[in-house]
Amino acid sequence: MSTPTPIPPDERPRQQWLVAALVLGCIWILPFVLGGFWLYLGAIIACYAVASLGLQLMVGLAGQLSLGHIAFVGIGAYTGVLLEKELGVPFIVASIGAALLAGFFGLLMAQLIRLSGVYFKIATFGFGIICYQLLHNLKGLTGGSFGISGIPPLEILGVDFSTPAGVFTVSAVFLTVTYVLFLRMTNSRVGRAFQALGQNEPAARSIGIPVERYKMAVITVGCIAAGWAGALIPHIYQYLSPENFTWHESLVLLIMITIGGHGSLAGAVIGTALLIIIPEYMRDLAEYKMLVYGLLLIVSMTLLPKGIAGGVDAIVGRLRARSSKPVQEVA
Amino acid sequence: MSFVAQIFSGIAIGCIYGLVAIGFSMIYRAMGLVNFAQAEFMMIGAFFGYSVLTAFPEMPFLAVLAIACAGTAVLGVVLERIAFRPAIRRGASDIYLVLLTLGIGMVLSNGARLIWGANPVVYQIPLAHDITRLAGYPLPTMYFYILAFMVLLLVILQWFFTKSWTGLALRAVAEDRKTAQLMGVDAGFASSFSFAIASAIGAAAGVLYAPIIYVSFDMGAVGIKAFAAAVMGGFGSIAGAVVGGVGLGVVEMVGGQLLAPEYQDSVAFAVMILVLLLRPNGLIGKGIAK
Repeated sequence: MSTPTPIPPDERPRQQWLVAALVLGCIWILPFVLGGFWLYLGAIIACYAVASLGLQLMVGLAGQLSLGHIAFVGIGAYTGVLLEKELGVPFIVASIGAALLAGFFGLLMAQLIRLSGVYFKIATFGFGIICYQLLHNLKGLTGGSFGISGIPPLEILGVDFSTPAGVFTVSAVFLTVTYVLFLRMTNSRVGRAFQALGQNEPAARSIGIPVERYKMAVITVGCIAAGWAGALIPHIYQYLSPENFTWHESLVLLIMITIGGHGSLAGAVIGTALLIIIPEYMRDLAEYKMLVYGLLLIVSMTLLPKGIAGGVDAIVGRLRARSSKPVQEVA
Repeated sequence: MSFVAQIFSGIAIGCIYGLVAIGFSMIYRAMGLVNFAQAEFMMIGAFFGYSVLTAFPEMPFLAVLAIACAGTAVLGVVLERIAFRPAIRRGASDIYLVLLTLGIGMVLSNGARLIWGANPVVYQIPLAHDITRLAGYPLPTMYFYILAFMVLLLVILQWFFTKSWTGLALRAVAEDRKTAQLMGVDAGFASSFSFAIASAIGAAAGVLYAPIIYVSFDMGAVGIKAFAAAVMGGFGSIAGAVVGGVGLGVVEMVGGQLLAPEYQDSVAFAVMILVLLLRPNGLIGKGIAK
């Protein structure tokens, strides 16, 4: 990919926080204004956005392409639900447990980073498929293809959040927390190391970044986010089935971050919202959802290689260059 | 089902994996590209064969095979021209190219669903039901066709890459693109040619497999295992693709029987990950210099 747009370093974080406030503001306000079905849709968007933010950190920032990310959402979902339903653990604790277990499996998978490049992709892919098959076949634990129903009501500290507005609020809080943490992280020392890793691994190694350790860290963090998001999924759908975690869903997550903008946190959220809203308007054509997704992916890569966020960046950059005439030359 | 018959069917299915895996390896060698759409070429090839058979029910199987291969090769070249080559020229990153191939795979499989429908189709040919007895064990005759084709293909590829000028040119481009170009090899032609061969081999796998199973838009899932086979054998190596494919086919059959049939796919991937942990460069091959 071409070189990133040079933005003066002191300006970049401020701009990112503004964008974050804008994106999160839309997510928070719109479903409440539109109401009804949008609360449900908003919850799904916020929940998947948490997972896609994790993937964005891994793929877009640190360049570790995972083709099985949905597996970690699945691990989180089943862990959360089983903890709540079978052991009666409160939701918050269960969601943290789900996140940690997903992170643990992510760390396990990250051991495979010794397989670099092509081999890592394949390993993540294989991991995703094995996970799906386990969810499908461990009938005693997961209910097999029948899935799990009778999800306990969403309750936090004794307050009932099981209404559509309640579920949405919790999802939006999850998203806000993840987004803010990740934004802080990307602008920190660690985040810059991740970026260096994503842009040029040998160069990162040569300036003394312990590449292996950072790879493992970013994969674990990405998987923790996926697991945390997973804990919410059963509460939104009121039902859990392995079919939510096929490898196509991993692809959908990848398309979300790609269409939104490679490496952009705001882009990940926007891409997620788009890919969840679009199918709602083509219900009659549900069979061709994946065809549309595939075409979207190809078209966005041809016309907008940096995704929506990259496109907006370019427009803003051009406008700014025009308004403030003596352009500061950035090497 | 006897053990011998199991092993033999494992080898036959393994050859199908191997054929698709050869396609993966060829495109990887020629363009440094992991083409996730390769398995979809197999599916498209099987459907082309189905369409030919529907139009001309009396056509001999080998002619159907040839037509399907030719049609898929054309499709492969067209995709290489309109999608991959511009992206590579632009210097697109590795991740971008992988996503592009994934997108193309999705469009191919769901496009096939649009054209041929969601229901699996069956090859109406006598060959589909023929049984041959091998030392008393009944086996589908198709298995022998698959084996024979595999051997023939390996001989041809061996000759092609060591004796023919085009084959040598392809290897030169794979080895060092710039130097090969300086020596007068057309690198663009080389990548188109690689795509054509890889697609045709994929299509052959599809047509050979079709009489044994149902042909459907999602049969590209077999390609996932072919991919594992290519990786196990050593990505980029043709011999490795075959060894990986046959090995995977046998391990999966035996492992599936030992555990439970529904774990067949898991066995394949678990073995793949195990092989990678023990021999990161695959069973055969020096690995990828990168």
